Amino acid sequence: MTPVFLDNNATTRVDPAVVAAMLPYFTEHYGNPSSHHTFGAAAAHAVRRARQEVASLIGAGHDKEIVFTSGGTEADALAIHMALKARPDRREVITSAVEHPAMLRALERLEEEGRCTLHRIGVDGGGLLDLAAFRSALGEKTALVSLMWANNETGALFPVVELAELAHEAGALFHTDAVQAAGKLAIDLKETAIDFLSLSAHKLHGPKGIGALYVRKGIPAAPLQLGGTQERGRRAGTENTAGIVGFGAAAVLAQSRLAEDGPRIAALRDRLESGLIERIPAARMLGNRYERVGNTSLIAFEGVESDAILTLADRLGIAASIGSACSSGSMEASHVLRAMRVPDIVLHGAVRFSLSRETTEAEIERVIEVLPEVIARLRGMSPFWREEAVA
Amino acid sequence: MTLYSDKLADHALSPRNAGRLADANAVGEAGTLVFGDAVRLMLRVDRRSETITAARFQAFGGPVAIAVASILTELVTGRTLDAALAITADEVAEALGGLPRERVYASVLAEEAIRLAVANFRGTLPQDDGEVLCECFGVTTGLIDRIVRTKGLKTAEEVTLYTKAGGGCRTCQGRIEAALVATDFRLTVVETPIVAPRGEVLEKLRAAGLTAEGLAGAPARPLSSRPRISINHVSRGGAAPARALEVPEVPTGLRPERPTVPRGTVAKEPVVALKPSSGRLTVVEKVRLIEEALAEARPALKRDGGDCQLIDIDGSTIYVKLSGACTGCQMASVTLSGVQSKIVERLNIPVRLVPVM
Repeated sequence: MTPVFLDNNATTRVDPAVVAAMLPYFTEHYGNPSSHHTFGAAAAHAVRRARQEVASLIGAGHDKEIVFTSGGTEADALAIHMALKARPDRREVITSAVEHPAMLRALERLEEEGRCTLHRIGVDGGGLLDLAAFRSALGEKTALVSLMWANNETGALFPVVELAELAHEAGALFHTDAVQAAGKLAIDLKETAIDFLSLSAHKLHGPKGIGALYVRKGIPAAPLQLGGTQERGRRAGTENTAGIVGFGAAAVLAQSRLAEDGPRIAALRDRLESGLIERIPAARMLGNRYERVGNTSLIAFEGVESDAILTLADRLGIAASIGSACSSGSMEASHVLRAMRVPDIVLHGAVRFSLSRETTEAEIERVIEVLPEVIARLRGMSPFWREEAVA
Repeated sequence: MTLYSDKLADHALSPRNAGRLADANAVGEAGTLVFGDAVRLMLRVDRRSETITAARFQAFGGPVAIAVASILTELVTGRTLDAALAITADEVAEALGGLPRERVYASVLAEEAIRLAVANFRGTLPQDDGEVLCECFGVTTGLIDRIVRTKGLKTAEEVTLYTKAGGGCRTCQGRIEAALVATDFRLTVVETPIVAPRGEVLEKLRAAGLTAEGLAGAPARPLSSRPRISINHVSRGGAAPARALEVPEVPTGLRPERPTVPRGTVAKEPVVALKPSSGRLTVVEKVRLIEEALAEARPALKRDGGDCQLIDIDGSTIYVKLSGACTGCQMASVTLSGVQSKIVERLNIPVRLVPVM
């Protein structure tokens, strides 16, 4: 029985076409792109092309607005750094309570160091941003607003295009962590007021260890890493040519397949959700049903705990997860679900299923068939579940 | 699952004795929804022999909680209640081939479940377990106090691993530190053994008329509710003392009265680890520095009606005599700890302070 991988928000399988595109850059065109000889030129050419491909995926005005990084986390850190440097007279930062830890921890550390005052805007029960709170926090002291495009746990969408406009009106810069959004929905930055955008290749069938930060033209370079002029002085370090090429190839595939894959994946996700909720009592989806990406389903099962569910499911060849992979070793419950004020009886029993363009109907049906038994077994030994309580 | 031992994985995936126990006459439920893990232990106990004839469990939590509850039922079946009470969290962990470090709290949950089941049977359930110290996980001062004492926990990190307290929003960290300090000195107050002097030292004491007979009869002094002695916290295996703490007002539930520490718990004498100094001190220099340290401590001691005198030095062991109200005082070990720190600061070498009669 082949395993079913429903943890694509954690990472995706690299597309074989992407692997094929990358391989020559290990043993054939292996020169340093900054070198002046022919070896270097071939690599530089590939990097240039990949830059255009990634720029195209997000509708950037110029490919030079793409800065390749080691991943989404570095892109987030670089964005904060550049934004604060670009607005030295302002010391406030606005973010949300449901951002990815890469963003939250970076901002919290700055706050601890006294380098900024941080406002964390809350969300409603469906994970949507409290717009009133956002408006009142935004002001002439705001240097940066950082709000994610799509949430990694619930899939909930923030209206970042509109929010960026509001930020600009207040003279603040706007960053969005689009790591979970890129490749899942159409992004066209040219028409927006978004100044910074974080991307990660391994969420769209590209390799791990490569990401990008979109930096709007006109924002001064302020690198975190020094010692070279790569990425137009915004990020020193020899380019990960193969990784970059892979990112470009993945971007091309994602962009070309979006129109077709998007609805198909959403339909499978909806089928999974309704299938499970029909068969399993006291199971409910968490997050706004409509304002979300099409591949994510967060379902909470009352009276049982997610780690136990995932362990049993894993044994049956089904891989899913709780919230963020980055915090699975901790004892704390999901900060996203806490921010949504999800009650304890279901908070601990939330499981995230995240699909990809490789997910098949057969796989979804298998999960629907197998999971009810897992939940029933765990409920049989739970002190917080009573059979009689179910109508 | 790769973190787990085979035994743990086995009990997690094929738990033994899961489900309700018909005609259970002892039930202990440790943990809550807020805590995120819970174990309900159900026992059938033979009333005459107090032997556990059957045990089943229900558990809420990850694979570790389930495995711990499962092995627990196996460990308790056939034991008397007292023998079951003797099962420690460590034993439960060992029975499973060890637990991942960040899941140690699950073994504590097992211990608590037994304790509560036995108390339920005997009708000795406490009214409450103190106030909630950690809001994120609903951990009470009573539980923290109990676990710190019985497991000899020394750091806030250990408290978090064993009880989850402070593992969430972390705003209770300060209160955890306070609880550690409060519990720590109580441990040393009750249990530090007074070493009987031997050989030369005993002769000297006799010659000076300072033997037990001469000191008997001094009345025990009750603890003041707000101790004013400063305790220098020294980290184990580390460098210089971290900071001098004024013992803060202890939170409710930890007021220093006569604590009931289980027999057999031996407190550790304050272990001081410092970088050795480059030059060695002569005995005369050491005596001078120690007398300086004692002179510095003396006013505070005299204020409370007591005193501390240097008797002898033997290598890195310093014998002192507490007198007056200091003898029989529950705070004796705290006093010694403070004096020791002063001495250590001056000598810059590790020393052991031993009170003699």
